[in-house]
Amino acid sequence: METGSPYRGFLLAVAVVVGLLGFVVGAPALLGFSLAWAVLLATTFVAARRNLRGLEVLRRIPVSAFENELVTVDVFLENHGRRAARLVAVSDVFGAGLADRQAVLEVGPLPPQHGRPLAYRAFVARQWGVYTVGPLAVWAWDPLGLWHAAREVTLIQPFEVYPRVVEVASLRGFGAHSAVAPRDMTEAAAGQSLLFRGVREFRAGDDVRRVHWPATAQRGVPMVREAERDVQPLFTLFVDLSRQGRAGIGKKSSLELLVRAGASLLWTAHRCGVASQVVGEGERSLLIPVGRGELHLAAALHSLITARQTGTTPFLELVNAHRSHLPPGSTAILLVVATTELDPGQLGPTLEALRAGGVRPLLFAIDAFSLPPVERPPVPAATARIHRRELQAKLSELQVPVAILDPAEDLLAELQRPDLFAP
Amino acid sequence: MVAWDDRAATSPPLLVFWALALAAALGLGERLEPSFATVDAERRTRMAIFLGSLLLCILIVCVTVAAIRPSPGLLRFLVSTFSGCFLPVLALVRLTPHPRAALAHGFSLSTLAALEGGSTAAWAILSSFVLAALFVGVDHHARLLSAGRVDPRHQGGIALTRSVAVVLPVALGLAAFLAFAGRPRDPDPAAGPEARMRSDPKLEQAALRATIVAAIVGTGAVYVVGRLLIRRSRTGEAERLQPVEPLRGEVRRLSPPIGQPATVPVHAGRRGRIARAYLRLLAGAARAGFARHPHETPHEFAFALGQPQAALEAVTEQFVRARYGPLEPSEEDAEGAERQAEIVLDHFRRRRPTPRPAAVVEVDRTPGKGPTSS
Repeated sequence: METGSPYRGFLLAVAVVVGLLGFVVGAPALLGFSLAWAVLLATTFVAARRNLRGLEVLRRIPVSAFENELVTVDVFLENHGRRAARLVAVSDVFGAGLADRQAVLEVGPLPPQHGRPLAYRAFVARQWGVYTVGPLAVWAWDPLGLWHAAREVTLIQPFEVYPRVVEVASLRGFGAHSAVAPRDMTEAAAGQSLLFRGVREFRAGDDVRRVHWPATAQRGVPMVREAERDVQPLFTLFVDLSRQGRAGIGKKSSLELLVRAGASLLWTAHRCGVASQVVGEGERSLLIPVGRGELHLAAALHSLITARQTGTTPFLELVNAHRSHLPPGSTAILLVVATTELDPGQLGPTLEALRAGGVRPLLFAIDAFSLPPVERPPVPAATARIHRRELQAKLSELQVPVAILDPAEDLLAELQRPDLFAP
Repeated sequence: MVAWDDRAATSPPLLVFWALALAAALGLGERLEPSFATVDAERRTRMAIFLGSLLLCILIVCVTVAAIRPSPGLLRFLVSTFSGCFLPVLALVRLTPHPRAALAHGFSLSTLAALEGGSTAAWAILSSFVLAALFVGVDHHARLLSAGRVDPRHQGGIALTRSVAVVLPVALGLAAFLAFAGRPRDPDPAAGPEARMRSDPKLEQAALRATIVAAIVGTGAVYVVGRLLIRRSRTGEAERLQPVEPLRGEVRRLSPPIGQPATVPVHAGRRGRIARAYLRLLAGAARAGFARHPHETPHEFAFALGQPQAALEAVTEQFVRARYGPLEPSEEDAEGAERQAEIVLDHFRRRRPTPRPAAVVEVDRTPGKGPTSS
């Protein structure tokens, strides 16, 4: 949709040249011709601006989307003027898409004091990150299309793009812990849920209201009802944002793999209805407390896409610092970048300590040995291979589910493998 | 041709022949559009520029020669040639995205006719103006609707109506101008073309010089303008909007915007005076950086503000009674409330209120930085 007229410059030139010719030759017809075009150009210039009067635009857009999603952006065109509006275009800049400016044409007539909701669909073509949407602009033309007038509305809104996510098939059986408030999930242990488990003999301290009288009459001793225990599955995602783990650039960087893997893990937890929390230490503390639901997922994904690998606290130190806050029975997922800086000797005790606290650890290690290191001298390939073998040997000794993610492979396909934790 | 060739003016079959030839050329030009689409865009542009320059040269020569009144035979030949050039121009109309060459040639023929003067000139100028302007308007509508992915089938009448609404007043003005200001070039309408050729040699030379100067200046102007336009198109292209699949909802009447503040209730009498005094107090506190939170009651706000305590409590109590109480306040109550409010405002002018303590504290672990609050 061209905003400029292909005839305006030509007609301007015609008016000038023919006017000159008429003046020199003394032909009133040519002078009149030139004057008529000049008047028409002036009239249409005013008309274009007049057609823009009273037009307002608003926009409503979702705050986020995943990569390669189709987003519908609602635009409201309102005519507060006194004339009906025709052939008005509303343009917008959707930063997460590839197109420069997208426009929707309103043919009209849009009567005065009326509005029409318009919408356009935009494809999220860019990678994860935070983009802007806007500014909005409304365009109007004169009836001959010789001039256009535009008014920009500085309505710029942030728009977050989250990485494409997949369900991690092998992530089953999240550790759960007893819940105080009633939950949907229960486990075959004594508790307070509504799910009947059985009857047993009365013990000191049992609530008298739970006495099961028919069983008591049958057995001759006081019997109480027992219900299953409410449990709340919880997993904690530890993300390695330490500066030492930085490797690679662009799409083959450790941060890229961390964010994509972390997003898929959080998505899997959300889909299973599991409560989750995120812990990391980058430029700032990354602490998303325990929660469930879409808002919580959005907050967690937002923290991932805005994180930077510039933390100064070593990753294992971070895990040890938060270990005591993890409730027994929950799951801790360690998303670590395996480089030459990672000490396999310290990894074992950390995982043991987690297990000792009743927390089930899972390890996702991103094999960054093949990625060029950042802020460190490059490591010879032979040294990198030795470190990789040592780490793999150490990890295989630990009786902990370990998944090693190779940057050379398709990460999402790897995460979807059912045998991800197979040795 | 009608203006400069008497035979054409009196030979309807010749005119019909030319009209049919032009229509056939235009039809051929439309048919050739798919063929031109296969040619590289840059090559097409170069061809168009070359042909346009050639036409311009021919035009300048024809206009110059026509202005100095050559022999009738030569003039007829030039007019016929230039009219004939319109045929290939129309046949190549789809060489460029926009048919400016056809418009330009049409204007050129009208200009040639206008040099003759009289009613023929007026008719040529008026008709070319109206037709060209209407064409520009309808073409604009078609391009805009096509780019906006809108079915243009039912928009033709509207496009024409809107264009006519703009063009008609100017066309009427032009017609009036031509009627009152135009003069036939030859005062003796009975004189034939040969008689028109007899003129003063000195005037002829002056006309020749003026015409050549005008042609040179005009060519220079066209060249400069053209270069400017091309340069502007290279440095910053006219903005292009990417049209998307439009989704349209129903037109609906605008309602007052949500969130518009409700009109402030006006309390008459002494209640109103006390209320206005309290509102002035709130406005003054807001200006001093201590705005009332929407959820705060008057007493909570007074407690949070703190000082000056006595005046605050007094004016708050008076406001609450006047606003919500059953009894009408007395004149002393109203005056007292206004006085106390002024005391509070005067206190704000001398000493700003202590800011409220932060509700949320963010911990920034950057070394050397303390906690920040919001």
